[in-house]
Amino acid sequence: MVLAGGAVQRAQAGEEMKIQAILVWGTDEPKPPEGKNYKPLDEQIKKRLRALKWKNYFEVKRIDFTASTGAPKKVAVSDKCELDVQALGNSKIEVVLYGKGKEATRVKGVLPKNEILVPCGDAPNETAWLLVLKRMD
Amino acid sequence: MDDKAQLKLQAYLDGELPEGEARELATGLAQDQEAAALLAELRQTRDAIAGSEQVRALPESREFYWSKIQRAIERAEAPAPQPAGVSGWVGALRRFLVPVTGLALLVVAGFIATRGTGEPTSSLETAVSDPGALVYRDYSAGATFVWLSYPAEDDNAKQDDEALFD
Amino acid sequence: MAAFEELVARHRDKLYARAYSMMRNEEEAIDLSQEAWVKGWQRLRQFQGESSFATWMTRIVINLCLDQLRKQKRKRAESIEEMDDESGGVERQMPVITVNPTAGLERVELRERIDRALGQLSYEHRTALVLHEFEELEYKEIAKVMGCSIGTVMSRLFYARRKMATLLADLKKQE
Repeated sequence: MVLAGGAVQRAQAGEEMKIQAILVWGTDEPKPPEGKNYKPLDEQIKKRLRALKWKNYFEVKRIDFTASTGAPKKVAVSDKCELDVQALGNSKIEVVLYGKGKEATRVKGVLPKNEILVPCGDAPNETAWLLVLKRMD
Repeated sequence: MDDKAQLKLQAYLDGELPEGEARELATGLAQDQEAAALLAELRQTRDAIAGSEQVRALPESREFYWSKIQRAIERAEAPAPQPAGVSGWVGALRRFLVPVTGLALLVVAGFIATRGTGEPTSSLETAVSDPGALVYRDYSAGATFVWLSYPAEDDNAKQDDEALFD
Repeated sequence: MAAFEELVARHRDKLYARAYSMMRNEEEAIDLSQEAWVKGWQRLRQFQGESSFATWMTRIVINLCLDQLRKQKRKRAESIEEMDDESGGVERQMPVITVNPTAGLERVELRERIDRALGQLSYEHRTALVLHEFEELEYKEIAKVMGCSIGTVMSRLFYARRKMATLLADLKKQE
């Protein structure tokens, strides 16, 4: 999954949002694939995923960054997973995901403090990928 | 003659009386002119009507009449289309949410599933450009999930764990 | 489907005629006969050859006509005739017709007069007559089809016949 920029510029100038992005693998398997050093997801975050059906969640990568209302922030979550994040003011953000060099989707939403915004989707063998976005400010 | 006697006479005419009653009635007719006259009228009317149904040609051409029947048959046999929105949501929800009982609990807990809208106009809305996306919010957990159709189901795409996460 | 179309072509006039006898309306008779053919197609597997195919199809159209007539009856007020029928009074007062009003009539003319007279009956009386005289059903079968008691079938048939005798006599007087 490759992601690139181009988020719409909006709302109040100068607003910043400290965000943490956690790439998560959701599975019913008790352990990550052999050779993968994924650790079990933090329990506090896992509790928030109780609506989802998988038994286990593993953290693949965690990145802290700051999104502002200026230019989109490019974030490389993995070699194949990149996103552009831009603050839109009033706790709104826009996340642009790119796959294979092309824009895969845009997600525009509100990310209040103490909440998470989770773009997610199918992964092979009935598992799931999740991008847990949470405010750190 | 009372009503009962008249109806019995008719039943006799139509062969609906049991044999014993029919014989008894037939014997009594010789002495009952009123009954005999009525029977004669009923028989006359019956005989005139029987086999005299008006012949009618259907006032439509063979092709036109049949074409409507054929279309109705085809419509009746076509599989009922699923209401896309409802089945799409249900299918998508089932793909990544807890089983039905859990889902029901989540509904009770204030769980809302919506399609992505154009612009988030409130804290409750999330906009997604992916037309196949499903947005749902777990209020009690403070989580908004945006289930995307990416990676698209593509036979050519060789997906494995490494490809997705590395 | 081609074979079924052939059956439709062969029996469509008779089925339509039966629907018309009951409904007395060309458009309704066409619609109901078509509906009967669609049902016939859907139930083809159930046709076991106990009766002729034409009889089987006719029963289907008769049931459809009765359903339609019941719906229509719910929407319209009862006529005085029907009220009299329920009370069983009118037919007892009709004078007995002694001269055969249809004697000497050519078949075509006979059918035409009977058809005209049938059109003047209420749907319940006409239905009882059609089912007995044209469909050749027994009382208990008519009761089942019409959803009433055998006694009611007998009363309706009696009234219908007596009324027909009077109507045919009147038509003869108009010659």
